Amino acid sequence: MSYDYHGTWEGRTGHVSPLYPATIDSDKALNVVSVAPEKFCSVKSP
Amino acid sequence: MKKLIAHPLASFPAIDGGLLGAARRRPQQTGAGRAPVRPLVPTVAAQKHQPGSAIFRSRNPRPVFPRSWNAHVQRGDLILPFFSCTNFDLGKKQICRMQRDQTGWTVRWSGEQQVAFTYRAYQWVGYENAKSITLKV
Repeated sequence: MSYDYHGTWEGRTGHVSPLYPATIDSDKALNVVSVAPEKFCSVKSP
Repeated sequence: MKKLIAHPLASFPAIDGGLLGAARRRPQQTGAGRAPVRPLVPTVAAQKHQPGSAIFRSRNPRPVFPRSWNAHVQRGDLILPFFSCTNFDLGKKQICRMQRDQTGWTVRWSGEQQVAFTYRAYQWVGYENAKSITLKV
């Protein structure tokens, strides 16, 4: 299961929930590998 | 010389080329012999055939499968409804239909982000397949 880490609010075409960051990403932490372990442990996720 | 009569409810073809008058008129009000007025806002039927529309319809009675996509289908590749295409979402049936019915779609794998995507001309679609889901799990 994954969430949308990227979207239309960024104004750039790309995958919504990549496994690893892309070189053009402004925030390298918005991907499954970087976000999932930290956020899922600290925030109550469904 | 034809004389123009200015009236608030009359159109001015000599000034705006009939655009203002056409915008005011309804298509049902066009009489015989007059060219049909094209609505300024495209109808739903017209939007379905736009290249960037989220609604795809087959216009090719004999679809040609891209080699890579055909391999995915033959292997029973799992396609999950996690699609996003520029500014709208696609369902798994929609992306399967457009891959099946429209030619020119190229299926690729992003080695950097480890996700699958496909593109045709200016259209780009990222989606999940069995390989990307397996890696995420």
